[in-house]
Amino acid sequence: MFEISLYIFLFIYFGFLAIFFIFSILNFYHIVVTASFTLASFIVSFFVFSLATLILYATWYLLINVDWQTAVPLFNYEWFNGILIF
Amino acid sequence: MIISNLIRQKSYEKIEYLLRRHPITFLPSFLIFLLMLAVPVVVYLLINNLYPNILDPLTSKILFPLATLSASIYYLGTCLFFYFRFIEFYLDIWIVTNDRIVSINQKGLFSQTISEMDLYRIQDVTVVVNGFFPSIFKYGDVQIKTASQNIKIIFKNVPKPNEIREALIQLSDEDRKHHNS
Repeated sequence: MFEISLYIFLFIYFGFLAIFFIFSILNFYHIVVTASFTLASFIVSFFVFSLATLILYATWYLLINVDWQTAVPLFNYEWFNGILIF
Repeated sequence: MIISNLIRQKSYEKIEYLLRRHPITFLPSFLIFLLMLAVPVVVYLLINNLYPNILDPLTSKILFPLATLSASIYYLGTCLFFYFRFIEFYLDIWIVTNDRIVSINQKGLFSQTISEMDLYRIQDVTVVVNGFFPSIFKYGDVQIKTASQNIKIIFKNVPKPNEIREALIQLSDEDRKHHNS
């Protein structure tokens, strides 16, 4: 049986979070260096960052009671038991 | 950074117009963004209807956290996509001074094209307003060509294109007189 712990997926999620924040900062940097930091761009940036904060809070709230040590079976040979019985 | 630093404004230069695309042209992207936000909700309702309790946090120790993380990644990805689309829309800038035209075209996050054209070289200014929404909301393309016809700058989906056209013709006439004298 091949299994991994649930927290591995949490690490993958954190990796995506890092990519998200890097690109968000890059986007904001582009707005500033092209002299485009106006009311409109401020409102949209504020909206995006607020929505991201809300999503992260909701994710944290939903996952607060999760046992991250739970084993996730990726492959178990017992899945194929009885498969060739005719 | 301010506009004057961005275009290295000269001492005698005055910025006449700072143009961006009409806000209504961003509406389709915004609607797609709203639609994308609704997808996980619809999927959750569908799964809950077909397989009740499969995503219940108390009984499903593996599926629930994985589904939550997947939904979170999807929503954050949607936010990022929306931000990218806004950057592409908002960072297309056309600056008209009393000396030149500067066109800044943003393609994606890591690609930008900057063109410059002296006003006295302008030979032809054409306005294209094509479609129902451009006609109602008064926005369109302003195409500017030089004598060689090889160099062309297009102001895409700018508001009040006819006013811009008239101003460009007047400004180019004044700049040509200044250069001839």
